[in-house]
Amino acid sequence: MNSPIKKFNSSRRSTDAEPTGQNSAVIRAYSPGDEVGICRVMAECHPGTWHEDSIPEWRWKYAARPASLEEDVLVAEAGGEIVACFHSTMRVLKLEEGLQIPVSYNGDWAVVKAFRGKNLTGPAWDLTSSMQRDRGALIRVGFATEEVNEKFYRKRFGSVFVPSSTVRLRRAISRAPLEGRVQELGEKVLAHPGIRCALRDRPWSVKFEMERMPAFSVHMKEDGFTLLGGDGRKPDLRVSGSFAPIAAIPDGPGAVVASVARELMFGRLRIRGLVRSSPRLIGCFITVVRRWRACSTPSEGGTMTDVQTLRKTIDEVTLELVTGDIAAQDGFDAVVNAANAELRTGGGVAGALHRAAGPGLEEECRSLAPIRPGEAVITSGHGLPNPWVIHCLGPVYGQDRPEDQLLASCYEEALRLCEEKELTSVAFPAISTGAFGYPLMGAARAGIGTVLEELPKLESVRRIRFVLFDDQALDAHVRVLEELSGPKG
Amino acid sequence: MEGTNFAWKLNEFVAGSLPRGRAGPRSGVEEVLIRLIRWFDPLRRRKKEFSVRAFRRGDEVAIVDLCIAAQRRYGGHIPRSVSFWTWSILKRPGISPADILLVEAEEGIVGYGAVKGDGMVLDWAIDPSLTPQEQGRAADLLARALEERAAARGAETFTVSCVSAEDPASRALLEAGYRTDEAESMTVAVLDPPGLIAAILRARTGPKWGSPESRILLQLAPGGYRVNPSPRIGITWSDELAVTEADDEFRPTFVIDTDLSSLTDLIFARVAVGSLLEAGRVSVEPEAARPSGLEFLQLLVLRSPWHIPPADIQ
Repeated sequence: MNSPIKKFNSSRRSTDAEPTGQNSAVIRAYSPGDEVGICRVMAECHPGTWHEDSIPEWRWKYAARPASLEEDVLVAEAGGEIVACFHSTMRVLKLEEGLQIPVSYNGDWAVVKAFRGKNLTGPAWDLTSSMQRDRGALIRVGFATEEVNEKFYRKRFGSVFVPSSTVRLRRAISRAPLEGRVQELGEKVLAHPGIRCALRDRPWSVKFEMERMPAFSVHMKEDGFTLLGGDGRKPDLRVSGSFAPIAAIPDGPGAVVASVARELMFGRLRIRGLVRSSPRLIGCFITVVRRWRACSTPSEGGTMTDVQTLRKTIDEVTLELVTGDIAAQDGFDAVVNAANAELRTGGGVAGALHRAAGPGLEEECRSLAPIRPGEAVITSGHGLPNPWVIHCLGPVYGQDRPEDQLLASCYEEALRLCEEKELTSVAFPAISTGAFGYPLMGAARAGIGTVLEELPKLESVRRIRFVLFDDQALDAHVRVLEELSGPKG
Repeated sequence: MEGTNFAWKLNEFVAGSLPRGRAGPRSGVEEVLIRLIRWFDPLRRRKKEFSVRAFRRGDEVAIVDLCIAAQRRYGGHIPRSVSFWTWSILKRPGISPADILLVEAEEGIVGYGAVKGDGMVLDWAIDPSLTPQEQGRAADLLARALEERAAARGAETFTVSCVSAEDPASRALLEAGYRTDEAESMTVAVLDPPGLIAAILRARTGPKWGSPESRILLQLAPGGYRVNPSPRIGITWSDELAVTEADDEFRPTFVIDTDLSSLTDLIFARVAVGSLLEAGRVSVEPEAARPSGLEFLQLLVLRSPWHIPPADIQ
């Protein structure tokens, strides 16, 4: 059989699949025996779904599937270890009644952390697309949220998000697995002096409505608490969100309260009903949040999602490139908001910052709006871990011209405001690269180029961080920084 | 059969009350009267009886037929066949016949669901020919039986994906206390635009579109994507449809300029042609041919909502 994989390995691997440097990887087709390595990679990247002992499931899904080919599964190998896997199968998809077409079905793509941003997924995408187009596939389908599609796949592949009419209905059918953890949580929360102080005046109850779990209430008094089912007394406060944050709470004194507070700040837990029912409890929670912030080191706030970092010091200013959450940059005097003209909340960076900051930020912004592309204004940080927020309006790509000058102006203006306020550190997102559609490389050149030009003029700013959405954005910024500043840092 | 007996007795009563010698063939008025009596007979509207049982060998064809009927109005899924179902559900690791439950009525299987050990229902179908009330009852019964099965296997939650929020089964489950959760959706990238356009146009039935010979040139601007489709697609559509890469010799009736992402938005995301035109993402030349161009583009838009059963993904 004339295998496209062989063609790929011989003609393209040196340019596409094999990054230069120590940790190089080569993409090849699956061969029997790879299952162990594939399941290890999948378990690392999709821990809830795949496990190292998922080999029978993998064999069923990819080897025993009707009409499967070994080439449906590609692996990337480095130093004899599988470091990534890419599954793409040919299927028939019904588009509407009377219309069925062959498609390339993609899922279960995984790259181990050390090899992310090393140009593996792009070549794998090209290779599988070309193979499956040759086999008759007219379209390529995958599964992602609309946000991820718009931020990433549309730009690279022209992909569109197709909403489905499917409605998923869920009901909890057991609360036994939760009880032990809630018991532990309740005891630790009660042990916190701030909470105990608040409970001295009157008892209060918290209703938890966690995704994937039956609702439950914790009725708390100074001397103890009672765990109730979903229909307890009217709660003073309702907490809802994903169960994952509670499941991930580490052991240790204060860890529960700190973790809950952190999840509240990041918006992964939500609180309702508190404002009207008990201002004292708000005070208590804010105290807890502030205490936690005060005693946490800068790295604690960042380690949640900061998975890769590049750091360089130029002209006595440290430049850092990280992937992570712009709303969780502890230890920085200011964070920059990729704002809209009205300085209101929205999606992306602005939404994340406004959610974490609370309504006070939007209120303060109201008198400063609107702003024009390239302009920047400064406000206080409200609920953010940073004292200041600088709001910049980046250009809409293809609409606000000249785009590069307007984008550069955002960075200049932000740094000017930092100097004016004598701030020492600032964290930027990649302005305009979200909904405003600015291509990543171009945005990286404008952003990093402007910052490098401004460095010699800076007197107070000593630390500048670019907080990037994903590995692709990081990769683009790393390349531009190395290109513009030279490889030595 | 009590309802039928009651109607029969009423029929006899009506017939008996008629003048003698006329108990044979009924007049039109009598026929209407009998039908009205049957229609309003409260016992006739007794509840359809449903029962639940586990899968047995031989049920495969009925299950597949039921899925096809339930998903008829929808796209976005892998068309069901016995071989696909056998691999996808029956041979799936961790699934046994006891995890595949069927709702039976007099007329046969009217409901089906297969649940994993974690409480996720992989595949689910309720007979759309049942009345909405019956669909709701069948869904509620099936969900309760599947929940029990999932709970027995240690699941903490139970999740079922229905075809749409307006579906009677969804409504019944929402009334039963279920909460909605985000469902899976797809992203689509076009690999072969001429092949896709030809497939869609061939599926369009009814009178042929356009003038006796329509020759359309679809030009796709480079979008900087990793997919690089042919930039010029020639569509000739008269008695025969031909969709090919157009060379310089191709003489079009009109030209449509767009890009791959806009074309994909139009076909799959159902972005309105007018919006694309307003946003400058589509243009038709010459100006006079714009109505024909828009009419042609409208033909490419997919018409069915998409339903994605979890079995297709997991």
